[in-house]
Amino acid sequence: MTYSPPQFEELADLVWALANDRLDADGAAGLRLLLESDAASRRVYSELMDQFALLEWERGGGEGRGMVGLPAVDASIGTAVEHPVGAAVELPHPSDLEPQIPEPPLPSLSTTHYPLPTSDFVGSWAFSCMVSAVIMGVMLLVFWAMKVTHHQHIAEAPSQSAPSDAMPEMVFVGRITGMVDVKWSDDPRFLPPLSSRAYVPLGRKYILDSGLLEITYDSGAKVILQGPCSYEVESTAGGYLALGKLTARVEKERSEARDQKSDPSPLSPLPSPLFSVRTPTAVVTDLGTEFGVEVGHDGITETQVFVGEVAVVSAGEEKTAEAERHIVRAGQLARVEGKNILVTAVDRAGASDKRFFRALPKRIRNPDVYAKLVLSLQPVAYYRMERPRAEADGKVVFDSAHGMHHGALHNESGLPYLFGRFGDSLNLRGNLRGLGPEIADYVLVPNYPKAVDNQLTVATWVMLLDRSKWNWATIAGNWSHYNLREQLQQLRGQFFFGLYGDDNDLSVIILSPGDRSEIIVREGASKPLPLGQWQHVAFVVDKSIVRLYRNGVEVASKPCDGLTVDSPVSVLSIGCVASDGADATPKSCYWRGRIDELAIFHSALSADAIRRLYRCETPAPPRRFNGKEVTP
Amino acid sequence: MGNQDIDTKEFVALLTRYSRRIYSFIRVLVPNQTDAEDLFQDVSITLWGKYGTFRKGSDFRAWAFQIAHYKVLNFRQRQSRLPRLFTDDIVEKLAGDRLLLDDALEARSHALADCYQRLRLEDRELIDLRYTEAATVPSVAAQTGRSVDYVYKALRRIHGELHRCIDETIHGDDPK
Repeated sequence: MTYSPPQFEELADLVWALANDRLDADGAAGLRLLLESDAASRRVYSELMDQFALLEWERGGGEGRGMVGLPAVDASIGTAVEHPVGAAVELPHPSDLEPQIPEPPLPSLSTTHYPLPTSDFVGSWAFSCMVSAVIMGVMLLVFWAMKVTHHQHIAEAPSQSAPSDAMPEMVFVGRITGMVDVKWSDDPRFLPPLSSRAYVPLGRKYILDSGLLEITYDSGAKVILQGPCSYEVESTAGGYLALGKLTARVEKERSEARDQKSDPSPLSPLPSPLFSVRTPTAVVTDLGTEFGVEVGHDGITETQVFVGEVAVVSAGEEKTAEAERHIVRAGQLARVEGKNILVTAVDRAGASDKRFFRALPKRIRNPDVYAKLVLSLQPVAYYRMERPRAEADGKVVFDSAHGMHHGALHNESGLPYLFGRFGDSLNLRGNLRGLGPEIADYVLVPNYPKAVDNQLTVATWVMLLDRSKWNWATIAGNWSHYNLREQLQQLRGQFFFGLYGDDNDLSVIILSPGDRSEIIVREGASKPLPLGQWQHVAFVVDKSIVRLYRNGVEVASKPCDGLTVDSPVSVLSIGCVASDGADATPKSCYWRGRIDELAIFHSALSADAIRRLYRCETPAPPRRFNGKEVTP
Repeated sequence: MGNQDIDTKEFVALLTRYSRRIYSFIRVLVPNQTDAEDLFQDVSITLWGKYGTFRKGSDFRAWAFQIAHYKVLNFRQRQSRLPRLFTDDIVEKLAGDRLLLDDALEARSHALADCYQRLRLEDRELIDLRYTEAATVPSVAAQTGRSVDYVYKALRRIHGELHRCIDETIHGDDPK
C-alpha cells in the first residue's frame, strides 16, 4: 500500500493516541488491523515510534538539557521506591536463546542479599568496583530521564565457582528522588547522573558544587545533600560525607521495623544496620531521628539534631567498646574536632539553626500559583503578560494587582504573546526597521503609580533574544529620553531598568533626590545576559542602597539617598524608553525578547523574597514526623 | 585484568554507539514509554553481563536487538494476564521489520535534528516542554495555561510536520 496523506493522518492519529494512553477499543482494533496486514503501515508506525523515541532520548535528560538558564527542574519528591525484596534479574534460559548466544555459567540465584562480598574476594571486588564505576558512568550516560527498573542483584555468599573475571554486578541501594538547582562538580573524574530519578548504586559518589540533591535509600532513610559537598554511598545504610552538608531523616518506626527485619550476614563487614553518616572525624549513627551534618574544609564535623537523637563517636573509634559515645538530642549540636567532641545547645537565633535544608523546596509550575506568590508580596502593579481572552482586549496589558493600572500594547503585527516563564509572555521585537517608534513593540502604562517613600522593587522574568551593541535595551522604566537640545536630564524619572549602553549589561539607574545625579548600578560587561534563556532580574531600592539581582542572587549594589519622588514622567514604559511628560512617545532603547511576570512593589523586598520569586518557591508545608507535625 | 579492561572499553564504545537504536527497537515493540525505559535498562545490564559471550567483530547491533527481542517476549509473557494491544504475530512482524528498517530510521534521525530547527519557535518550545522535562501532556497543559486538548492536538500536529519534513529531506519530492 502506498500511503496517501489521509491514510497517514489516520494512522498517525492512532499512533499518537497510543503513545499518550488515549487509544480506545475501536482505535486499538483499527491499529491492529493495519499493522497485521500491511507492511507500509508497519513502516510508518515504526517511523513515528522511532521519532518519539528519538525526542525522548535526545531532549529528555537531567537538569540543563534544553532549558539552559531556567532554574533547574526538580523531580517530584517521592517516597522510597518500593520493590519486591529478593527480586532477581531474569536471565535468559539457555533453551530460549539462539545457538550463537550461549548461556555463560552464572552463579545460581537465591533470596539472600549480601551487599558486599567477603574478605576472600576483596582483591577481585576492588577491581570490580573500579570497572563498575566506569560502567556506571556509561550506563548513566545512556539512562537520561529514564525511570529505571529497580533491580536488586541478589547473590549468595560468593562461592568458589564464581569466575574471578566475571563481569561485576551492580548493587542498588536507593534512588535519587529530587534535585534543585544542582550544579555538578567539573572534576573530570566525576560523572554526574544525568537522570533526576536515577537509581543509586553502592559506591556511587556525588559531588555537587551547589544545589540540593535528595537520595532515598531503600531502607526509607532520606538524605538531602547541599552543595558544595562530596558524598559517597558506602552501604545500604549510610555514606561518607567528605565535605559539605547533608540532612538525614530516618523515622523511628521505620528504623525499628528495619531493625526487626534485618538479618545481616555474619560475613558482612557492615558493623551495624543503623543508618549512619561517616565523616573524616566522626561517625554519626541514627537512633530514629532527623539530623544535619556539616564537614568543613578543615575536617571538623558538626552535627545538629532536629528531632530524636543520634550517637556521635570520633572517626576510627566506632568499633571500640571503650569509645566515648555522645548522645546528641533534638536542639543540640555536636562539634567533633579530632578526638574531641563538644555538645552544646543550638543557637536558635543564629545562623546555625538555619543552615540545613530539611526538605526540598516545592517548585511552582502552575502560572496561577506563581501569581499567588507574587500577589502575596503586595505589588502595586503586576503584569502577568497573559494574552487576553477577548479579542477586543487585544491591546490591553492587564494589571493583576488591585490598582488595575492597565497598559496599552503597541504591536505592529504578528504575535505579541508567546510561551512565557509562566503561561504566556510579552513578545517584543523592538524597533523592527529602526526608522522610528511607530513600528516598534512596547507597552505604555499611563498614570503609573510612582513610589513615594524611597522604597521600590521591580522584579520580572526576561528572555533576551537579540543584543544590540550600539543601543540600550529597556525592560521597564519610568524614564525619559535624554534630550540634548532641551537638556532634560534633570527630568529623567524614577528608574531605568534594562541593559546599559554599549556593554549591554544588566543595569538600573535612579536619580538621587538631592542633586538629581544618576546612580548607576551595573552587573558588569563580563556577565552579559545570555540569549534565549529565561532570567529572573530585579532591583531593590531601600532608602540608602540600591541592589541589583539576577536569578535570585545580588550581583551589584551601590549606596544612595533614596529615590526621586517627583518624577515628571507620568508613564511606565515596558520595552522602551518613552519621552517625557504627557506626550509619552516612545523614543528608543527597545527590548528585543520576552518579558513575563513584571511586578512593581512600593517596598524594598528582602533578598529572601527575591530568591523565592526566582526559585518559584512556596514556603515548605509542615511535615509529619513520627506521627507529629513538625515545622521544617 | 588487562583483558577485562579492554573488554570494558569496547563494550562502552559499542553500547554508546548503539544504545539509542536499541531503545528505539524496544520502543517500537513496547508502546508504553515507562515499560520501554525499564526494559532498556534491563537489556543494557544483560548485554553487559553477557558481553563475554559476544563474538568480537560480529554485528553488535543485531546481537543486541536479539537480546532486546527476547526481553520483550519475556516481558509480554509476564504480562500475559493483562489485555494486550499487539498480538504475538504483530510483534514478530514489527521486530523483523525494525531490524531491516534500522539504517533508514537512522537516516531519518539525522534529518529530525534539522527539521526540529525549522519548526516555529512556539512549536519547538512545546516539544521542549514535553520531552526535555519528560512531562506529560496534562502537565505541559498546566504549565502553559492551555487546555489538555489543545496541547495534545498541537503536539500531534507538530509530530506530523516533523514526519513530513523528514520525508521531504530524505526523499525530496518522491511520493511515499
